[in-house]
Amino acid sequence: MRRNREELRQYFFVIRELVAREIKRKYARSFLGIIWSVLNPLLSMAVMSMIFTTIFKRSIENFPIYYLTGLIPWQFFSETTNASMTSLVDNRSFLIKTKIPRQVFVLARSYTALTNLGYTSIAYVLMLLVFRVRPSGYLPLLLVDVFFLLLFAMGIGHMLSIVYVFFADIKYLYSILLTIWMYLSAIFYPWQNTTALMQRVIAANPLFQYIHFARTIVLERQCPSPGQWFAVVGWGAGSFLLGYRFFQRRQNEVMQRV
Amino acid sequence: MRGHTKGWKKKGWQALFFAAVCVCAVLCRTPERVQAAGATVTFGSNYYMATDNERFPVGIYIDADERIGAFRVEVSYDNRRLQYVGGGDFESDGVITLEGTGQRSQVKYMLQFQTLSGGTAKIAIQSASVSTQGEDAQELTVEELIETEVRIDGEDIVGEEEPETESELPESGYAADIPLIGETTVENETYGIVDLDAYLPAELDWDYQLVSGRFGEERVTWATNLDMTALFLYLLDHDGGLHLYAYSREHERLYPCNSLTSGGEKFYFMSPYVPQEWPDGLTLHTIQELSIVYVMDTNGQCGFCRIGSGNVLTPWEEAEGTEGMDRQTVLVLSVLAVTVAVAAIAVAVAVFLDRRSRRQEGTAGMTAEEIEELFLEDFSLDVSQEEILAWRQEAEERADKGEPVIAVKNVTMCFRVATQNVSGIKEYVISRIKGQISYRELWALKNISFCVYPGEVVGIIGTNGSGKSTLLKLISGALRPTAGSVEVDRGKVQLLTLGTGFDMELTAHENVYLNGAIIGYSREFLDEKYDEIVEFAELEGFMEEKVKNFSSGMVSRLGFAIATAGEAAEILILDEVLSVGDAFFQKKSLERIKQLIHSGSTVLMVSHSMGTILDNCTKVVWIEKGRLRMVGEAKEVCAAYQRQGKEAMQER
Repeated sequence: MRRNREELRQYFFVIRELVAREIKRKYARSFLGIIWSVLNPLLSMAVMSMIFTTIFKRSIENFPIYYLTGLIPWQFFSETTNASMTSLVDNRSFLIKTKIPRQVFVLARSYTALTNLGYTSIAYVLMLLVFRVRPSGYLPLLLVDVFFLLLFAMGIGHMLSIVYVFFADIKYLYSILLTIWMYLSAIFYPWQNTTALMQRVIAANPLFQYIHFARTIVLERQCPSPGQWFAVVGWGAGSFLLGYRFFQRRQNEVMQRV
Repeated sequence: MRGHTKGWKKKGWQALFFAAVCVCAVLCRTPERVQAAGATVTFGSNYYMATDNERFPVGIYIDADERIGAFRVEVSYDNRRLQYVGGGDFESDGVITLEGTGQRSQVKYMLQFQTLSGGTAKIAIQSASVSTQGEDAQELTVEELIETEVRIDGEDIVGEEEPETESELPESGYAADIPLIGETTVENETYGIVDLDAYLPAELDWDYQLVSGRFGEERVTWATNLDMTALFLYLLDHDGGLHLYAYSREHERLYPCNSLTSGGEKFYFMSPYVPQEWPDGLTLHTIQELSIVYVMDTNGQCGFCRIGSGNVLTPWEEAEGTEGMDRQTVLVLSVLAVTVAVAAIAVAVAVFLDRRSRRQEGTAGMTAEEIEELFLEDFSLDVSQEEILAWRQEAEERADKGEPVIAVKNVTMCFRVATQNVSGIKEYVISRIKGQISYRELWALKNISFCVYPGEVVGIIGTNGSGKSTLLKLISGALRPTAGSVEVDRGKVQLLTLGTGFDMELTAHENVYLNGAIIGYSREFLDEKYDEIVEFAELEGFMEEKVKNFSSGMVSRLGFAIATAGEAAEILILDEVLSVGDAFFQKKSLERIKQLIHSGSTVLMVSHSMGTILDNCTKVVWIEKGRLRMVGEAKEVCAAYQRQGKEAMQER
């Protein structure tokens, strides 16, 4: 029991160190360093909001917030999965040395993305204030949304990390898949305006469910429907369990190939 | 670590502050607004887009340079195309009044409208009076009364601005003498409802039934088609003209029916909202896209049709409609499907071929005995077969005496290296299917067997590329052998290698914590030993420097210091860690290793320095080109190794 706790503490220590490294590395050569973590999303949000308020006028009220509420979960997902995909190969030299479970490297990358999401949400809150979105009592539910989105992304990340070891071309295939996936997630268009078939496709897209969940809370200021809850929890738990199992089964083969 | 956590926090606050400043600077939104001397009344947008039967908001902003006091703004809207839902203070006859007292320099209203028809609807500020707050309230001038428009997708059932002459007609009654039940207003026009029980108009040229029902408050007699899918009324206008109107139960309003002749037959067509149900697959989108209407022929048969150019009616069929409506969607989806399929096939092919080649390897591969024979035949150097067998026997005999901590049994390791360079996935898949990709088999280790007993210090020697590091990786468990087995308790093994795992972009300080964590040191341990590590690596004053600026010697020293900072593991595997740094450091590191050895660890070390091996090792394993050449006493094996080296030199 005590040994387990010590091991667990050690995992956390490793994850924290790995995350600290990723974040420091990311901004290692820039002058402003960590400030970019908040500044970058903030500036891009500002630019996007200006574009959408002045150039593309839509019938949707508060379009910038509609857009950002879709974009942020999307970016979080794509960052998590992309970073997880290369985690095993990038940490090749550590894999040989360490006795801790290999999942730690995938976890660390996911945690890095989560940290970045934290910085991004500072910017997001500022945008909510600027656009005078009245806060709703359901806002804490966003944490639930993020948690299950993280599970969903981690499940896919686990699988990708293994596949990437055996089949590096998956990186390019996945980037194409992500592009298509993005356009099917109704990030910058009102999904109700699409055709019936398209709406069915969009509704079947798990990422859209997470985005829709967040929009229901922020923009409609309502509690998501039971159907939405079911989709969000189901996709998250399902993906994570599947990815984790796949990883457990294949991780020994990885060591030979890495 | 504490130190730089604090630094982080500080930077975080900086970031927040900077971010806040930036938001203020970048996001001073300026909605298009005509600056007048006094106050302005603006809409949220120059124009709005909406679809038929949709609810949408329109923002109205009253701005002034000072705080606004009492204000009154009248907004007129096109009430034929828009229905006012709410948001203003009160409404009457197409004019919404916004009235009240402001708090700040801006007053904001969000009016809700529901669209009734397609077309362009105007919303205009009709009048505005705004005064300032306080006792000396001044009337502010609102210079420009602006208007905005709503572009509504969908069939324009209102049509162009009706000439208003009709309303000028006296309301004194209707031109024709036709019995009426009551009156109704459709699109601002008052009509009399023809009492179908008492009077059947000549225009009633289709097969009908009469049913009684309610229209709003009134009891009326409806004319209905044979299937009873639609209800109709005849309305009488002030000029005595009779018009056929169809009733939408869903929308509780009347829609006009127009007639046309298509293929020699007369048809009535009307809004698709008239029937209560739409067939599956028919959506608002399809209706708008294909201009679909509800059509009735003179036999009273009804259905949905598209109106083509030249008023040609073609019955709408679901399949056709979906095809037409979703052609683009289908295209997008098929591109998606093809991409996913290609990806899936590529992955499947890669996995399948990989597995097949592995299976082939299994069948084509040699059994342990075959490998042994091969290796004995190949053995043509100065050691005879008998001698090798004798060593092996000796090893086995020793194994009987005690439990070995490391037992390497007939280990063979084969790497597959692609001999052909394939650039790109297409070529890769093609050549894999054709079976053109050949792999050169690199036998890094062939049939190696030896045992290590507790407390032994075993050296592994051999020329470069002879497979020493592969052997260590096998023992530490990082690799799995192709054939044979390695028996060792992995939990007790600690592998020390140098030069790997440093992040060049991080400082030495950060790298100590990162590498320490990976090796398995806890934070407390690292905090405690940090100064010791720095001192040992002789890097005082360089720790906050990025590792990329270090010389290779400095990196190696740091690596050694971190790797050996911990308490000795039971089984210590040292991969050429002693050839690091200058002579002084080498001496120091040797002492450190000796300490570890003396604390009772079983040590397995790779070194090119014969001196180190001879000084420390009790047993030496000599590997040459992947094959075990000799296992035995340190002196004996080293002598043989050096003799062979000299011979090789002379031959050259």
